[in-house]
Amino acid sequence: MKLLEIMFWIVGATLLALFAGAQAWGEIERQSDVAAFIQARQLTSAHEAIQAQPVTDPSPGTAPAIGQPAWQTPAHTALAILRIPGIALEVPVNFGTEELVLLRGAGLVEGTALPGSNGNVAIAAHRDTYFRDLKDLALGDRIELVMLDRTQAYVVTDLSVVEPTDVHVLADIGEPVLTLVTCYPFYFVGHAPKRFIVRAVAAEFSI
Amino acid sequence: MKKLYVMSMTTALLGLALASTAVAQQLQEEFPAERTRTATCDDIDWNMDMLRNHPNLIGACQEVVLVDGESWARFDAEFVRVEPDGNVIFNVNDDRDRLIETVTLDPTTGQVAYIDDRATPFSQLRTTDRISLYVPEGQYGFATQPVAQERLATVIVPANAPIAVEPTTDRTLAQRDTRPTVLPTTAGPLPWLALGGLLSMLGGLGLTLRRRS
Repeated sequence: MKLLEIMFWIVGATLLALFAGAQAWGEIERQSDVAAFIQARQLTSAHEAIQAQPVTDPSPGTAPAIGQPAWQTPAHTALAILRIPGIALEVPVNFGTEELVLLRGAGLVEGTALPGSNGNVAIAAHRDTYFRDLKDLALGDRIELVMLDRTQAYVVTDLSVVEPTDVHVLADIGEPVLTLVTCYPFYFVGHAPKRFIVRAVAAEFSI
Repeated sequence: MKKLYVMSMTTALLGLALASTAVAQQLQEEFPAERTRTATCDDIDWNMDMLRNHPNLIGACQEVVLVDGESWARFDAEFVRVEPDGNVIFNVNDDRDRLIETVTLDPTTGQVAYIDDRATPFSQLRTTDRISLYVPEGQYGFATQPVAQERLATVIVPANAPIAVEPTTDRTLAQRDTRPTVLPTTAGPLPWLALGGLLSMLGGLGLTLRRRS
């Protein structure tokens, strides 16, 4: 009997430790991805500034070696950073919606437009972590998609709840839009029956 | 006492079941890895437009891979640059690494390159990065991975090249849409771990209290 009691405690503590560890790992990876992206963005800006300068002294001693780019982004940076100031969200956007991707940030839904293009950029994330606060978004809220070379701002124009099969929300509509996807209801253990959709249209972009 | 024992056992089993469900959810979908060499490049039935517009390119075919019964010719390509209009330029080399042809591709929406089986947007490729490009048998266009759902990047034919007159494929590009058929599932396994852990701890607490009373 006492052995069973100990087993309960050990299994419970192990599962809770796994939960806490996974949460901590995801947060560390998120911060690491954001930092790497910001570094890559700074390198991009510096590279563009150098490119814009006129060449006055093409000294062979300072020229980059042939075939060796003078500037390179760090390997495997995120595609973009998704920022929603209204709910204090800053999360890296990686490619795909596999579990490992969504544990460390948001994921670009495969088959939709890449950040920076003129199509429908669809981004998904867990409603029990990064996208839970989407419930507090309101029409007119600002969303920013920070890319290596510029920042695209969007304004929320529609909030809706759809069925998981309603993939029409991922379709291109002929203008640059951002679609955020997460599960609904927000407080639910397991696969939720609906999807919460945030639709935002491009507002302006800045460097 | 027996009733409490049964309840505790049930709680523990439920906790373990929830945890195993969470672990099962973590299985990852991988890059299509099973690529079996089944034929040589000479056995490929090339698309007529491909032969007409790129007579030298088929000489750069590295091998033929078979995925889900479909043959794909694999080419080694070296990334050159992304054009302002989004087109991507690659140098296609032969098996001796000699440049055979420079091709300009118009990628489909969401199409990415794969380096070490990792998806990488074309905009993040670096000069001289090498990737594999795949041409499905009988079709005219390039994919970055040999899967039937992959949409083909259109080849931009130089202005002085002969104009293709045949329909390109027997399957339309629309049929090769990679857009998912359902919206992504965004319920993580972590709540299951937490719930299973809490239930198990509650079971342990119940047994402890019972023992002390």
